[in-house]
Amino acid sequence: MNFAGWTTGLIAAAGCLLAALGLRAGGVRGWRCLRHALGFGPGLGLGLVSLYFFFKQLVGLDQPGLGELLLVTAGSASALVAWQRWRPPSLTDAAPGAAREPLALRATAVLALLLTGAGLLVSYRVLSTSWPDGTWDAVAIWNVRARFLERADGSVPELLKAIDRTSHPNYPLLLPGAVATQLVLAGEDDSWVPEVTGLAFLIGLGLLTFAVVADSGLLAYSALATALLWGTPMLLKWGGAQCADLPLSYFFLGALAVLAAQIPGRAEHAERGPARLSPLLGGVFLGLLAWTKNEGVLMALTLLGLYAVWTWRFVARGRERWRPLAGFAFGALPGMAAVFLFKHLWAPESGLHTFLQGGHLDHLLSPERWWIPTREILSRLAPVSRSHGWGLVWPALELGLLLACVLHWRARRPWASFWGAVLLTTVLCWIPIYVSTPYDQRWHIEGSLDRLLLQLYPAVICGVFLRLGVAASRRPAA
Amino acid sequence: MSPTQTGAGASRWIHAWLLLIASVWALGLRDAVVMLRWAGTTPEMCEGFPDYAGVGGLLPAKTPVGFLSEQPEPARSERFYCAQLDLAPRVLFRWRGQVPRPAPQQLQGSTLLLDFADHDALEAFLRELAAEVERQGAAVERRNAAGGLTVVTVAEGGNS
Repeated sequence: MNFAGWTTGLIAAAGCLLAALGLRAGGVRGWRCLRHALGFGPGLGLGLVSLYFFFKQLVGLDQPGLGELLLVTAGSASALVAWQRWRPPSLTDAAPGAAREPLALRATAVLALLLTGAGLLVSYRVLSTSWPDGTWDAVAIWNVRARFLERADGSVPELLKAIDRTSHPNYPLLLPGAVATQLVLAGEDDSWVPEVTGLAFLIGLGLLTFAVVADSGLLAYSALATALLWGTPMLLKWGGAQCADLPLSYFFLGALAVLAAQIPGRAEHAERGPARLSPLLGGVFLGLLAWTKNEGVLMALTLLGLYAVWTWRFVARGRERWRPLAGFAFGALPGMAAVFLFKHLWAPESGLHTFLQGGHLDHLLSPERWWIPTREILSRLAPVSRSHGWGLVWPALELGLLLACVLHWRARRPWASFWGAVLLTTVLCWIPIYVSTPYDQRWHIEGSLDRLLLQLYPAVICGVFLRLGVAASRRPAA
Repeated sequence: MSPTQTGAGASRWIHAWLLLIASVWALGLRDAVVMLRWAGTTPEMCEGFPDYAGVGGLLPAKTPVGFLSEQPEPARSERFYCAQLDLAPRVLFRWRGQVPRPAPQQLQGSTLLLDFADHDALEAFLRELAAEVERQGAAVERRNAAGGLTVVTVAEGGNS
């Protein structure tokens, strides 16, 4: 691997170090700290680098250098640690007790993880060899804008307003910014950069899945969840595509996991959810979620809105009730500010402006336009005629969700219902989007629905395995 | 029912579900093989296209450049995006005038990047373009580049 590949490695490693320092300052120790640092680190590093690139360009400064980025990492770590010491997580953040697992289950899980991990690397290699510049969307939307950011000479807003609308110049810049920074550091347009950046998110997503499910106390379940994720054809396809859909699913999972972990049970016999993680980390991931794609803004707002509802409904009144919100707000500030400034200062108008001006209100009155996206979503979740590249994993996951809901109903766990509600609400939010779309509706659905499900897929897996893992770990020792 | 009883009952259901998901997941691997075969045989998006970056020196740095290709690209415009990837930060726009009958102000002072594989079609297009431009009182400057690319600049005219 050449220098450009190592650039991604360095940034991801800096992100892991940053996450580890923040987690330790928040009271997370030992293997749990390591697991979460490895899971949250790659996205943290690449996301912060992208934000720094954007803000520097916004105020008209030069493109960042390596030493400067190291200083930024150190500064971010200091801020993270200072915040954690000032406002530590309010509950004791003890690692969950490791539950006893059957040896056969553990061996099977490890074998599945190794096999799918090897399959993942092979498929990634095949995809990157076939398409070194990425798939059609990656070339037309993501890598083109990364090149503009890298090569622009202080005139980015004018360029973004001038380039072809089909390159979506109004999409946020997390991925182009991260790639452009590395291209600047590498000093050449190396196709390794977007490739290795995509691989970092793909591996990071698996590690994050492992870390989140391991909070149930069952490592075998963590390995099985990651193996299931890495063995899904649709994920392999988009994982090697160099598009922003996989990073979006990564940030969505990270933000959801942290927010859900803040919600304890209110009833006396209700069990606490997974041990708490830093709200600040969750906030940073919320901001980066919005900074990744337009969809991420809606996802972040959905997460925050439902978090407020669940807190109001399930968290007892008192000083601690809304305390995590300060961490969310502070952490999300850079990402949300970047989105706001980008949309107002750099981005051209989007289809949303047209809709808000009343351009397509008649779409909302057509029953057929409501039925078509509903039918297409159902056809993917219950694949009767074709699997759309999902295999049969979706129906199996739905059975798991059904089982998890039954267990939730019996044990009254609000964090689990929050998890499910976020997923369901996000899917439902997309139906009016498909109804009101200014594009050809069938074309829009065909091009984006599988990617929406991909963006939610890791969170579905984690929700099911985490919930079932918590239930199984309560089994009395045989 | 006590939490312990709930946990023991749940555990049986959970392991049954794990067995189910393992089997359906294995069936899904067939899709992964199909996907990999497709990926292995689908050519790279920009494969076989000219070296667009090589004509960068012939194009204006600040003014958008019209891109026209007669190659069959059914609504996907691969050549346009690959050219844009190579030529950024120069802005390309898709020049849709297959028959050059634009208004005078659309042509004068503009630069076009032409990607034609058929030499006769290119010559016919340039003859028609030159005739139109001369009728507007301007002139066409043509420069051939590597890979069969042609750069056309329409000089500003004074009597259009």
